[in-house]
Amino acid sequence: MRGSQSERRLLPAIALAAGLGAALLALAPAADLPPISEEGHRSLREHPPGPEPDPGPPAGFTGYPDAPQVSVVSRREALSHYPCADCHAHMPANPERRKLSAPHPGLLDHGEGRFWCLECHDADRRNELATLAGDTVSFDRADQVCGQCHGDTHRDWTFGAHGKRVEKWQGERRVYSCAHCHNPHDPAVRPRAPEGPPGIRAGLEPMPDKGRKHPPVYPWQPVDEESGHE
Amino acid sequence: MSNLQSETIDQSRRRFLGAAAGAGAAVAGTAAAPAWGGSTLMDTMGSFFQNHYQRMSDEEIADAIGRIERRAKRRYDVDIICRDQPPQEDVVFGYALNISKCQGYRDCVSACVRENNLDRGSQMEYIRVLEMEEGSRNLEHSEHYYDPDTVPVEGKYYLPVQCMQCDNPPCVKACPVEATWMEPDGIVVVDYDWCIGCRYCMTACPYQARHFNWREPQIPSEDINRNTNYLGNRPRPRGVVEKCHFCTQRTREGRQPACQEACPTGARIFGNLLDPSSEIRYVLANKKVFRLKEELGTEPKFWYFTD
Repeated sequence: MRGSQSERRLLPAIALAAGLGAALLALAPAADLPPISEEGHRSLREHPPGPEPDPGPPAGFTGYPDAPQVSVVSRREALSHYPCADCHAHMPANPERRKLSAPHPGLLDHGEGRFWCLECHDADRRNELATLAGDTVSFDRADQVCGQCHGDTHRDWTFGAHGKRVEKWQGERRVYSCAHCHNPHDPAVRPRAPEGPPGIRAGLEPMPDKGRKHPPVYPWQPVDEESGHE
Repeated sequence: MSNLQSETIDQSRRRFLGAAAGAGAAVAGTAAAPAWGGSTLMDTMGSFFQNHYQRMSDEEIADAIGRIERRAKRRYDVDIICRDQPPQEDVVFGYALNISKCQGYRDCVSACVRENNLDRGSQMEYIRVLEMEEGSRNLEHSEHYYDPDTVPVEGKYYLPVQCMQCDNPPCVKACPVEATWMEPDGIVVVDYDWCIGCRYCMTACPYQARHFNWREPQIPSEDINRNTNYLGNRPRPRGVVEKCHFCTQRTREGRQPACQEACPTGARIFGNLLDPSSEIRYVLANKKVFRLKEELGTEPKFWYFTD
């Protein structure tokens, strides 16, 4: 048992020695090497790199490396006035900033006044959204529009640290889109009423003061005039 | 050898008593008034001699489940479905909660109460949402009876606390009858029929995550969750300790726990710690996480993190 182990340990050393020998042998005949140039030294590369390829226009967002496969819950079905082209098909796009009437949202409290409709909505294809680079994005993948500014959040959302997954922790990942939870025209979340506090245990009276105030434990503790407690 | 002998004697005794109980039930069946609190003699004897969950055979568990369902029918007039959902292979559950997202709505609490058939109107809530002073992690100055008109309150943050499913659970060590143990998927469960109600585990738990049934859970029949699990949300008797079990009835079949599904903020992340591509592993690898009372060495499988 022990002998076989030491043999096994020896094997890589033997292989290494054999490899070195082979390398030395291969170096010995110098006939195959590239010719020495006029300056007296060999070019460093046998295959010098060609000219830099033309990068072309920057590619759109193609996803994160190692990102999990995620399918997004459709958002279009939840939109009350979709498809927008029902009305807009015969209207020319008016790029002038102005206040829109119903059925458009009256409020645009997002981006501190930097935005107007056409920052996110496609002026020509009214049923779609648009990125700042001009790519068309479906309403179902609004995350690609939001992620242009909220990059960290978009990465977290893709990997599952932000947002909500539908029903399962296991199997196919179906996640809600940004706009399912955040109103894109008014994304701030307002305070709301909480569910009720825990009840009092059956058979007990509620404490006179909620929280950590309790009757004085020691006689020298000061007593609060109003509640009669510490 | 002597152990083996006593076991066979024990089993033969149980078979004899079971047969006797069957005969008794046949006699009792002829009587008009329900004896044994509406239960049959067979069921009463069966629960009396019911063994520890981990020592029961599949048949005995099936019998126990039948008794649980009949008892729920008598008690709540509801046909519940009780299953014995086994843990999944190669799964250890972990939880992460984003305290920058939690707004203190307590939606998780109410979803948990409904899902797990908790007593209504008493303090029996597995999740305790602590209202904390901003900039402080002093749990003693937290407030979980907070009831303002709207949350979040300025200058406060919210820290929901529930069972941490510790990997080194002090409650399990404290139990004198081994009625609570850690399952292979990392969930600390309670055999409610084996618990003697001594509450040692409650004092051993540093998170106050264990709760005692001071009365039999009072639930309106229409609010009973009929999908139940033996080591989970099946109706509990009075006088036993219970705790969050990561919704075994849901999570062991791939669904999210009720608190995660109910959370409107997306603060709760649940998943398999052994799966390197899971959401929880992403959080643990990429976020600033902490655990409560980590210095106690309980190794909680419940992390808190911030954005």
